[in-house]
Amino acid sequence: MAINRRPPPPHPLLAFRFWGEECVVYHRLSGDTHLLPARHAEILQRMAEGVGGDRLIDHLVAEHAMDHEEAAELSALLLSSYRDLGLIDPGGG
Amino acid sequence: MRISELDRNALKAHLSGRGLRFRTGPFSISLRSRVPAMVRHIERLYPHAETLDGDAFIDFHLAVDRVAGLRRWVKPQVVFSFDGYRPFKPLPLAQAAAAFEWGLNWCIASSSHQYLIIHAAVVEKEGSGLLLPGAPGSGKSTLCAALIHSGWRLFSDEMVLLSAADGRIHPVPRPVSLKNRSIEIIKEFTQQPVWGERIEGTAKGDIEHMRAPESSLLPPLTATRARYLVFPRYRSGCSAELSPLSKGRASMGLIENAFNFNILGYRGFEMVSDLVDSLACYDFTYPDLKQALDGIEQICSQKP
Repeated sequence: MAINRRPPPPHPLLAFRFWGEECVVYHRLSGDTHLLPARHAEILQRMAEGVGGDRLIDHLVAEHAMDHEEAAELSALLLSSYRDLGLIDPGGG
Repeated sequence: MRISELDRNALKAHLSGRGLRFRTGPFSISLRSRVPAMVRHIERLYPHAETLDGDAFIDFHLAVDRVAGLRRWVKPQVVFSFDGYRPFKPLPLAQAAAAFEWGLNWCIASSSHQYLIIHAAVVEKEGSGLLLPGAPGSGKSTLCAALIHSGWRLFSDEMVLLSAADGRIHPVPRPVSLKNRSIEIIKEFTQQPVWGERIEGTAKGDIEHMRAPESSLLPPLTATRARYLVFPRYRSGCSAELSPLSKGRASMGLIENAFNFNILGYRGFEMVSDLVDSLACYDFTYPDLKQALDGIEQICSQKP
C-alpha cells in the first residue's frame, strides 16, 4: 500500500518525521511527542490542513484502498483520538 | 598546563584560595574547596585537565564547602554551590566528591542549552560515536567503563552533548561513576585504572569514581558524529539478545532520556530526528560483560 512520503507542509503546531512505517509527531505548544503508524500520521497531516468529513473519507478511499465504511470508521476514530491528545483543535476538523 | 603539573600544595592553595580554574570538555570551571577529600579527588581523577589563567572566562563558579556551625563537629556535612546558589541539601562530609560530580552534572544539564543533553554514556572509536542511553541499573556506566579499556575513547559516562551548532557530539570526559557491584566487576575486568575514594551510603548506594585510561583521553578528543545507538539492558542469567530498533522508537527513547528537550522545543525535535537519521539503532539485553562487549563489536562491525 502506497504511503504518501511528501515533505510535510509547514504547520504552525505540528511537526512530522517519517521513518518507514512509523512517524514521530511533535506538538509545538505542548512539547509532547507521539509515535504513530505512518499512515495515521499522514491522516493527521490532512486533518491538520483542514481536510475533514467526506473529503477525508474520499481521500482514504482513494489513497489507502479502503471501502467507504472502513474509511469513515477510521476517520472518526482518529479524529476523536487526536482531539483527546490535543493534536487537533476540538472545534475544527 | 595540566593539573598534574601542580604539586599538592599548589593544588590546595588554588582550591582554598580564589579557586582552581580548569577545563573539562567544553566547559571552564572554577572550583573552591577546603575539604581535603576534594583535593585528593581532583589530584587523582582530573590530572589531564587543562588549567586556565586567572582572566579566562568561567562557565561555572563552583564550591564544595563544609557546613558551618554545629555541623562542623556533629555529623559534619558539605554543601555544593554554583555562583553562590545552593541547589541541593547538604551531604555528609565523606560524600564531598559525589556532591561535586553530581553538582557539576546538574550545572551542565540545567544551563548548557547550546547542546541537546541526553542521559547516556558516549564512547568513540575511529571517528564513530556509540551512544548508550539507559535507565539506572541498565549497566550503561559499567559497559562504558569496560569499553574504554577495550579500545574505545571516553566522551562521557553520563551525558551526550549534541551541539545545536554543528550536529556533532562533543566530549566531556570526566571520571566514570560506578556503583555497588559494578565497582568490583570493573576492578576484576581491568587491573590498571586509578580510582577515587569509595563513597559509601549515598542515595545511589556505594560509589567509586574511576579515572579513564590515558589512551582513552589523549590526544585530546574532538567532536564526532554518532553512528550507533544501543539501549543496553543488563539481565542476570538471560541469553544475549540483540535486536534492531526502529528509528521511531529510537527517537522516542532519546527524547525520554533528554534533559532539556522541552527547553529546546522544536529545535530539539529536529536535532533528535536528524541524529536518529544517521544512527544504526539497537536494543541489547546482555547477561555479563563479555557478552556485552561481543555484542557491541558485532554491532559496530556492520555498516550503519
